[in-house]
Amino acid sequence: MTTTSWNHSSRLYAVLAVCLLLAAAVAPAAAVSVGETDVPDSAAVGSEVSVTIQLTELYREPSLEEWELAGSTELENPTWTVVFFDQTGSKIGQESFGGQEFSGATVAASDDIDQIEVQLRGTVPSVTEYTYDPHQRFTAATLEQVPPGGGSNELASEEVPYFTEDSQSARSALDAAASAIENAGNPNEASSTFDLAVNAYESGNFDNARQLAQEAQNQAERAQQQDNRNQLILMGVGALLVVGLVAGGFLYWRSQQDSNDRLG
Amino acid sequence: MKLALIGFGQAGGKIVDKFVEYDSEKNTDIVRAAVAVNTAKADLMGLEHIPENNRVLIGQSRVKGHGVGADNELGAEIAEEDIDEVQGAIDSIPVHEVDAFLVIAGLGGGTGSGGSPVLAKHLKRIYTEPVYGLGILPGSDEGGIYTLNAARSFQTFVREVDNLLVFDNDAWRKTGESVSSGYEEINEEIVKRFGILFGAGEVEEGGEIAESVVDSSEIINTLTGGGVSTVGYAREEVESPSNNSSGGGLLSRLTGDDDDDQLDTAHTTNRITSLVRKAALGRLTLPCEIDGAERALLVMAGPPAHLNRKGIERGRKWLEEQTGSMEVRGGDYPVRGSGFVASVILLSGVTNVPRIKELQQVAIEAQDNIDEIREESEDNLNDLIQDDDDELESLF
Repeated sequence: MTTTSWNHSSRLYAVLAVCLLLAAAVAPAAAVSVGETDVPDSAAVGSEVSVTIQLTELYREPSLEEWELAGSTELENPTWTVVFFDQTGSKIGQESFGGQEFSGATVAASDDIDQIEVQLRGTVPSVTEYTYDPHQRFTAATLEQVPPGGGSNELASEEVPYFTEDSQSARSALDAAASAIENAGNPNEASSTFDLAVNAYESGNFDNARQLAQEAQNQAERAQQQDNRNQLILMGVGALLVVGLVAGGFLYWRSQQDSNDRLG
Repeated sequence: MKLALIGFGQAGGKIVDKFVEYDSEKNTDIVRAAVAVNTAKADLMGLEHIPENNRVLIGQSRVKGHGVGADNELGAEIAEEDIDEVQGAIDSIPVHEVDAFLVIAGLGGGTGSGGSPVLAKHLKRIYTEPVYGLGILPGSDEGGIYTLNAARSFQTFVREVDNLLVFDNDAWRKTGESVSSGYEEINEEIVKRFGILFGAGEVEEGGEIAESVVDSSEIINTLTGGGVSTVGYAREEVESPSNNSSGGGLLSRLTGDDDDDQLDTAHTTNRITSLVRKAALGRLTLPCEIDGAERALLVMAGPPAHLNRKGIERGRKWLEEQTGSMEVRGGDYPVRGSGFVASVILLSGVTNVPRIKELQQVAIEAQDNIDEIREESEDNLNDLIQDDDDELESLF
């Protein structure tokens, strides 16, 4: 019985070891790698933003001598600029594209291209769907590698949280409410009001969301005050109990003494 | 019974001090006022419970606060001279609230021995309330001068008070005690007896009411007629609710439940009669033959459940037989929550007291001896300072 179970487990260990070895062998086989990227942390709707993505290790995994770079974005009125560098880091060429999608920037080893920098400028689009958690985002840039035979590999995809003035103020109200609720130990009433506020936010009803968030925050604070008060009352009762016990004990002790027995 | 206590001299002051302590500690409410009078400043300073302005130092012009040195004639003289100072302290006592005065003094010393009869006389002249004395007799080993003082003071004190309660240190002396602890214990015994006796008639608010009350008037009537009184005391521990493990914990004590109702009546009765016998035939404050007593009072004190009328009646009857007096009063003094049942017997007008006779005998001897030695010593002194043939002349 014991030997079989040992056999089982040893086999398991063997399988695990093999898996680990395989993983170690596969891991270095990375595709085209993304170097420095410059993407804004968040962006207001209607503002102009720029995104920069560097690509290196251009001809590994799959080892292609030549391929085409394609890209897409949700930014409006975008301008794509693809800049090529050689191994010494000197710029050797540049191509520009318009439109939310571009393709056809040829990357070939024979052209001495060793690094690519994709620069993109455009206007942040209006929000299609609001989500509180995670923050609603738009795709600022997606880069793909198109091999000569067709098909595509995604190289990079950058998403940026975006907002309007209204949504941002509603969101900060929601954030404040959330932290108040957490501090108060997640009271039920405040949590459900908070859920309603999130719903209102997600359906774009920001005034309502703000109000609900404010209310949730108030409820949470009230709950916390109540909690504090209860705790205080409990402590008071406890203290009274202790005092009572001590006094009672003392009186009992004194009553046990014979000192006030007139006949004692 | 509410008393105005006046302690005269060192022993008197200490006993009154002890009385005040007992009164406040046991909440008996019998001491309405307490005054200490002395010729020695140190003795007054040693008191702890008597208020400062009730401590009267007399005879400052004569003895400068150093006491009279066991000279009771001087004590009496000073008391007479400074009686107004004592009266000044007594004036602050609301006398209308007081049932009696009790003048307490050691009879063997100087100040109390000499001054207390003077004060008693003064009080009797001014107030209608009875004036009782509590005199402490010195032990026979204390010396001839003290015995002489006591014998002379006793004679006078009995004459001047309405009744003289006597406590004989001789009967309470123990061997191997230090002076202070010995007196301390004796004072405690004194206070315990008289505390129960005088506390019997005092009903406090919310307290237990006796079945047959021993009122102040019963005590006063027992003491009327003058003479000398002695007190007997005996007690026995009983299962009080506080140490009764079978029934009644803290809760029943709080709610006042008492399951002592089922106490065996026969047992209770027997205990009471045996306590009465023990008190009367045991150690009295002044040992005497009880069959000569004119009047007697029996007080049974203890938790109400442990007192029964039948027992008290039986004890009273037994006391009548023993004293041969028809004037024997009796009653109960319920003390809720006490762990003891105690009997206190006051025998008033006792006449057959061998100890007093012995005291007087010793006193006469002492007096003769003192006179003799005084005369002799005069001659001896002359012999000493005069030369044999009277040849020398004095300077001037």
